[in-house]
Amino acid sequence: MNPSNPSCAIVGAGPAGAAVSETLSAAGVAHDLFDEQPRAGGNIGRRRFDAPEAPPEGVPACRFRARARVLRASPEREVEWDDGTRLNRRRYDAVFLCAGAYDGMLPREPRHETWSSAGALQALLKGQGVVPEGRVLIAGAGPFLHVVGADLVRAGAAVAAVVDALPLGAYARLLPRATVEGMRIMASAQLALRRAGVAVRFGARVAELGRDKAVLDDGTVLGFDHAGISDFFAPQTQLARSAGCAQAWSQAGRYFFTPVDADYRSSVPGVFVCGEGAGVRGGPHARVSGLVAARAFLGRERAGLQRQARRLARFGAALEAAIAAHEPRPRDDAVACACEGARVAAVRQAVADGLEDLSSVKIVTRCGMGPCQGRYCEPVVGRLIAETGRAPRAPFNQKALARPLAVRELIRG
Amino acid sequence: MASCDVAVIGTGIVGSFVALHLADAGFTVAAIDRNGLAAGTSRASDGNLLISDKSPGLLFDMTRDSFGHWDAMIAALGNACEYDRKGATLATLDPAQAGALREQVESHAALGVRAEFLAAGEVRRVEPCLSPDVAAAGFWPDDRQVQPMLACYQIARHLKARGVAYRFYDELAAIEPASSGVALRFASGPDLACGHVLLCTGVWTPALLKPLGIDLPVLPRKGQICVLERGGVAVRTKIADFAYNALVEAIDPADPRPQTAAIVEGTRSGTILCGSSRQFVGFDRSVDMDVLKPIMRDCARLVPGLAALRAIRGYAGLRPATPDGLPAIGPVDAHGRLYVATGHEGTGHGLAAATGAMVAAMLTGKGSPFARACDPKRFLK
Repeated sequence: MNPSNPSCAIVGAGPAGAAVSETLSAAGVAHDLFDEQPRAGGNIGRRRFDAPEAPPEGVPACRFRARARVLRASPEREVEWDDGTRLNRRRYDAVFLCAGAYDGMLPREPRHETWSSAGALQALLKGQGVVPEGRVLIAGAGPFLHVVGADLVRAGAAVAAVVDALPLGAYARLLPRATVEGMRIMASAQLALRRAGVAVRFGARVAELGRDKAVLDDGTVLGFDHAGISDFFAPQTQLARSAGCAQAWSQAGRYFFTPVDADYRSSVPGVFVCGEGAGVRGGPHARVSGLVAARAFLGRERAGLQRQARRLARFGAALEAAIAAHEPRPRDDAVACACEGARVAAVRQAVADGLEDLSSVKIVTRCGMGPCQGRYCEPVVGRLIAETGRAPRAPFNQKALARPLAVRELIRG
Repeated sequence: MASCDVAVIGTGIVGSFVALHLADAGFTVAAIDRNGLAAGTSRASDGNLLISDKSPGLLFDMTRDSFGHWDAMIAALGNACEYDRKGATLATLDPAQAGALREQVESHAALGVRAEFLAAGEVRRVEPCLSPDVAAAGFWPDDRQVQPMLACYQIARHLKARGVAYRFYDELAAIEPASSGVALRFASGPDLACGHVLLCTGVWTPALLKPLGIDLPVLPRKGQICVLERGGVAVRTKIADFAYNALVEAIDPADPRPQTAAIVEGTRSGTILCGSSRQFVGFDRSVDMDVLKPIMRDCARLVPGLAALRAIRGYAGLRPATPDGLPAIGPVDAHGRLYVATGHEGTGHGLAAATGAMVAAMLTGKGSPFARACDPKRFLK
């Protein structure tokens, strides 16, 4: 490292990555800010793909590498990315992994192609401007549903209903710890949904989900053309794993995450994990975690920010626990791994045979071997181990490629 | 202290077959692994059961014997492991190698192994995905492929149903051999008293033996595999570059440079496995893109359609290599209580069934025709 002119990589331009970028920019530290999307801001905050360019794209110390897929980071802080035409590699003095979280739906059977995760609908809308045709049902648990529903109605989609398993009472209990920013987002979503005449149901669950019809537990029948379901969140940890960062299982959140210290340093020197990667704690926490990590790298005062981060993390943990309490239990005949078609019963059998690490379950059930590399089913398999009361011992083992890579490129690269 | 006749350490393919044959021979068996199922080299294997790449000799004979024991296992337990007599095609792009390839086919045929030489014009009749540039090929219709982990799982589930105890996630803390048997001490679980102990622990065997003052030369020889997504390329047989054989047999542990030779095979799930590499770099199991690159270049030369697919995974494993290229199977302690079964290099799946049968024969006093050549004491002072 050249102390007078360090270079940093930030992966993910959501709230955490943007906070790191701002702080480094203010200190004049050159950095590459990577994001798969054409615009910064993260899944929730970013503007649509066709919105005009705006900071952080225009800050001198920041090189914003939009539409860049980061494939891996090494323990030596070498980052490998695909910019759409070729593979690139560069070694940095520090790497800030701010890759966020993703939502998913737990296995249900029979599955229909009219379903996706709520986050996938949001990503299609913001990344490619795809507005679903017909009626959209948004269901699951948590405030994210309302944000997605509001994004969709603002884009002109017909949202049939937002069905949130969390009762209003649960939100009321969370209120004292909520941030102004969080409340503003939720209020604005409610306003947009109300203006569009969308039915918002709190404390309601989808008992039966069909191809074009959902039956709620109170007997209400809702018709739809697309369903966006969000049962749980899990951190993106693939890059942290490729960098060799230690992983831990959260029984509360039911996912693997990257444990960090108060400065958001992972177990690998020079690799920081900010925001959801260190545990799903929400956007406001993500932003402050980015400020803390960047200031830690710069050797600046950060005790106040650390306290703020701890406070925000407590809110995130409380919300996570509330969502987890409303999680459906997957049926035996449901498909646990959509890529490979492995069923929940086969996973439960492997667990009953004594296997408690995800890789061992994977090799005997094929869960996690498909194109998505376990991104979808790792939280599912983890839950099926955790439901026996045992904590999963280790996540899916790390493969070379964080994303599929054309053989032609691999040979040329 | 809990007890059993034999403790089998390691639940990879060698440990699985050793446990199966010992249970079949009437021993009470405990199967133990410090990780989950088959977490070592078997998990990183492509599951080849090949005689095509063997020069006539011990490994050739053992492989033939092993094919019979594999067939017997499948006949007894059913086929839940994608066991498939799909055949292997050895191909060369170099016209100068055609003669040597023909000689290999003829030497095998003379020993009663079905093998067919294919001139350039005939190659694609057997394996349509091969490049028109292939100069010659040999086809071995009886070579097999298996999904390695499912084979271990199938055996484990069978043995568990027969009352064999499987202990996962239990690391050995000490091995204490004596004339009356062996005491095993564990990091977490209860101790175990055994008549015999079988270390089916691949490249990790030397580390287990070292505290006993036994220095067994088994070195990790790293290999990497690149997995391609399901796509429009049908690979019917297992395809290997004819140069593969020479690569396997050239052992120089002092040379850390990777050697690669193309191996391409389809799997039941539709993905395509591309290998292979050989490299002495210690216990490093990380995937090296600089090695995947020549692997994929070589594979796409033999099977041009691969270039249009996408790679989805890469993984690396450690083959247990011995200085003379032959396995080490037999007792290593003064009391004849502690056995090893390792050193199978890249042919562990091919030899595992024969190894299980061999160990059972040795422990029941019947002896094995392979025992002398595989005696680990050839390496011990």
